[in-house]
Amino acid sequence: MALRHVLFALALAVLPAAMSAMDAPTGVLAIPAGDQDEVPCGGAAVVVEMPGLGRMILTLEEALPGAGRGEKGAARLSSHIDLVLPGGRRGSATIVRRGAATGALLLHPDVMLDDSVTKPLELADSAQVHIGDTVWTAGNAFGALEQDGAAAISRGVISGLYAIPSGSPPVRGRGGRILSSYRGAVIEIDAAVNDGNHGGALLDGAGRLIGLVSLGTARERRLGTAVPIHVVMKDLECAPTLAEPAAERDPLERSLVRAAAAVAPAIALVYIERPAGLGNPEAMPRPTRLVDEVPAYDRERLQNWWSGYYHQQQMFYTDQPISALVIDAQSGLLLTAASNLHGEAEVGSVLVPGKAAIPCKVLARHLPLDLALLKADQPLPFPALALATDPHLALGEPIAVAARHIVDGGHTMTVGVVSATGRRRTRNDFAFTQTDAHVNYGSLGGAVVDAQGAVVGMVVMLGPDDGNWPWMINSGVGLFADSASIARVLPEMIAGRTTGSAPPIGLGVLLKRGLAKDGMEVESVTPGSGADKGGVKPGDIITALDGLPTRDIGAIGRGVMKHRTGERVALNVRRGGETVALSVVIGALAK
Amino acid sequence: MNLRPLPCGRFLLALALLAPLASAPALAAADRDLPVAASRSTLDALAGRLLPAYVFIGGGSGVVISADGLVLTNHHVIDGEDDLSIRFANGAVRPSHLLGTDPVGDIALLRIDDAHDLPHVDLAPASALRVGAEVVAIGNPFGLGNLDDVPTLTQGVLSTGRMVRGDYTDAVQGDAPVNPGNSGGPLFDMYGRLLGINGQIRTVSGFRINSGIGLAIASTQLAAFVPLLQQAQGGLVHHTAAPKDLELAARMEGVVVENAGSSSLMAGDRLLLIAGRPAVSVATALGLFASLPWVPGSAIPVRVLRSGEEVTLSISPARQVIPGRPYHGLSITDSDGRIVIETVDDDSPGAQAGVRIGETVVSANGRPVLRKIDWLKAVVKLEVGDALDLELRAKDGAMRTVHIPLRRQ
Repeated sequence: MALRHVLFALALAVLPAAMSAMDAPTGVLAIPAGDQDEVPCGGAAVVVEMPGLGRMILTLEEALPGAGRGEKGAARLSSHIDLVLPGGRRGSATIVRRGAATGALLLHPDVMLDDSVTKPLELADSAQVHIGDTVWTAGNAFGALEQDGAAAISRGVISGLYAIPSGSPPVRGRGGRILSSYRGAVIEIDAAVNDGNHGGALLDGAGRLIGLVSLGTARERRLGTAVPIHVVMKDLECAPTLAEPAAERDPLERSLVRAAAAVAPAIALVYIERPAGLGNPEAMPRPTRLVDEVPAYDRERLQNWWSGYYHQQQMFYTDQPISALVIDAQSGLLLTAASNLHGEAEVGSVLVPGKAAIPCKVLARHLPLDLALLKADQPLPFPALALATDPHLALGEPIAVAARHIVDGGHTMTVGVVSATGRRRTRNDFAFTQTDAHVNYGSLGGAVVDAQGAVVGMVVMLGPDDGNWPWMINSGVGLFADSASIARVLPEMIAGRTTGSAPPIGLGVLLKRGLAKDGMEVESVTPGSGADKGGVKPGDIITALDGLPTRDIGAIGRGVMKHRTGERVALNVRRGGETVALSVVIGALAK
Repeated sequence: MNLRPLPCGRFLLALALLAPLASAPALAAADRDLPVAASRSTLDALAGRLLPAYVFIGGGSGVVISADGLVLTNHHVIDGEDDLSIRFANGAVRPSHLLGTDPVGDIALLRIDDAHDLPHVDLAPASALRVGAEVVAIGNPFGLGNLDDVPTLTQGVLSTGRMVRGDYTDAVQGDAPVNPGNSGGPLFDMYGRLLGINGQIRTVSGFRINSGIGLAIASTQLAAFVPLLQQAQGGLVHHTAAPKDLELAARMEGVVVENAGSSSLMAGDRLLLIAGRPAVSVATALGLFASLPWVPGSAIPVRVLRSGEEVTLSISPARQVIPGRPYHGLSITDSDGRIVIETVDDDSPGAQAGVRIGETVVSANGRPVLRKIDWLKAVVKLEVGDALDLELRAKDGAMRTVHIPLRRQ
């Protein structure tokens, strides 16, 4: 075991591991959906103690029955709200105050809210929270509280602190339903946020309320957000005591937070000029009118069309600036994911807070690893980051993804573990590392750091290899190119050479399909290939590779994929009546 | 039944199944016997212990739960699959056969042929199924491991304790990322105990990707069904269901019986516990009645508040219908006053039971078959999961009986 790991294990043995377990808080209530609501479930609300007012309920307007029916629907909202209390009992409340800026609502309960049923949440000062703080969401996700009598919870970290700009269009769900019209300061989190969480609690690591969960999202991030509680309180003209938020974290997570903050200044934001097509909204079709304004007879057709359009625009393609890693500030070199360029872009500009942007161009691409190297016209006013030469990426190793999506804002950070190593996406020599940290357009091209502060990789390939269909957005299946693999191809990229594709690797045999029962028959052997040099002959039946039976072609393919060019595999071959053991070198095949 | 519409049943709920675009297990140690909980830092060692028990099945996943090769997966992973070969994460492929399956509860039990001394995992006790517990899921999301044999490990916490979600009547919800291809795969706690089998996600996006809401069939349900699945001889097991015509209503004070239907409950009873679990909502109460394996004579303990007093009753549940058309694969014809087998579909339950064309049907499920109408009467009431017992006479006059478990067509 490496020394640092011994030390690390010792540190953990001494420090009590911060416990993650949290009970479902009883200070969270459900607001059932109205009969007319076309939503999967209702929203949530929280119970708090307000000075001078006693026990009160907080929620967001977007959580009320009827709120999803559009901006006009909001005017018809009832002032009397039904509630489901923890344990399954029912109650109701009346709206007494509405915050103009946040849509936050203060409600007076119509029934006694006894401590034995629902315990008020303590409030913590959300102005003092930090990126990377441990948080929990607690709400009525998909009707959990209505069905189970207890809130469903989810753990995450504060992954961003920023404002959804005023003038942004409302965030819409499938069918054009308005999820949130809130614009303003948000706490972005990587904990689960779904229908039913809206209006519910965002809690700090000690279970204190730091925000009301909203379905609003930043377009390029698509992660859940909450309206900070200090903003809600100001908007509602309440002044309760706000405790200091819980800063305590797992020592490991504390190291990840420090590592992400340290690398953040070397993450630049680049605006890419996309000439056409993907990533350029001007080239995409637009709905002719808003769904809400369409006559009833045509609404369904347009809604279907809209939902397709919406997902293309809001999830698949983005015209937002991208994250790029400064690897040489003096020479103006930045590294990002090639799929960020959508294949066509050649020029862009590096955004500099408070100053003029610096033009840049694409110097080279390495498509097998999904890398693109950009070169700025001038030296960059940012520090450069150093890629770890020997990244330690064991399965289960905790990592963080650091990125940036607002030029003069802070960085973003999601946390996870190494989910898989040696992940192959195509039959070539290049392998990726997989993480369950949430990655999205806002973190594609971002840095992957470990708890020791090393930059161990860069987020690439938000989906299948063409990069145009990123179904992996925030799926918990994120891929990154490890720093050692990047370092191997970087010199040729700096020299301006682009690699379009890598040759497939294999034994150098053509196999017959499904004839022999216990193996695969060789039809022909490529002259000069590993198989040829290793003595494989046409007519041989390959029965095992590295000791594992090869009854189908997939078994041979997967066996080869555990190796790279130049490595040897052991083949068992049946030839005539006897079994022959051969050693074959894996090599590049002609395309 | 007075079923208040489930809040989640109304619109666009992508109840996404996670298959891609496809000896009794031991219970683990009780919580009190375990050391203080682990955290992210111990994942490395834990993964090394759990990965050998993980298996790829078709486009989904599974987990080995006994040294002699019992494998749990989802019903929807193996449904309609001819090839039940199992692939370990080291690339080794082993044949297996189906012992039994539960199409409603979405569990299937397989046995790896000629297996012994396999690395396996234990089922977690009920005390481990608590909200907030750290969890690890292992699976094959998006089929990524089909190229390189590398499974995916993801981490999260339990979002709920044991609860009811539709047909998942004894389930837990976790926020560890699960995606298509995680189906049938294990959800572990940080002691490596099997908390459940991942089977569904909830999402409204319309895309079958992780939403932070993963539903797993709880270890308690696995423990209750595995013994029956082991004895099912490749057939189906049934769930219980709420007594016929039972009507429930949500009131301010809780879930109340409106109409007791065929049960020994009484109108006005307030339901407290069903099968030992709290009846917190109408949906949950109905789900709890359906949460147990059905066998003849099944009884469910129900605790109610009746006229101010708590009473525990023993309720006879109904047998839940397994949806789908029952299939035996036989057709008959009237030949000179005898009912004879005219066709036997290939690989049908009838063919597997050894029925041959030309044999005379003497009786079906104990009733004599003299005319076509007798045959129709015998088969018309059968459901998926029922069996057709035939008395047959071969052309040479030899009599024999065959047992044909009906499956879904």
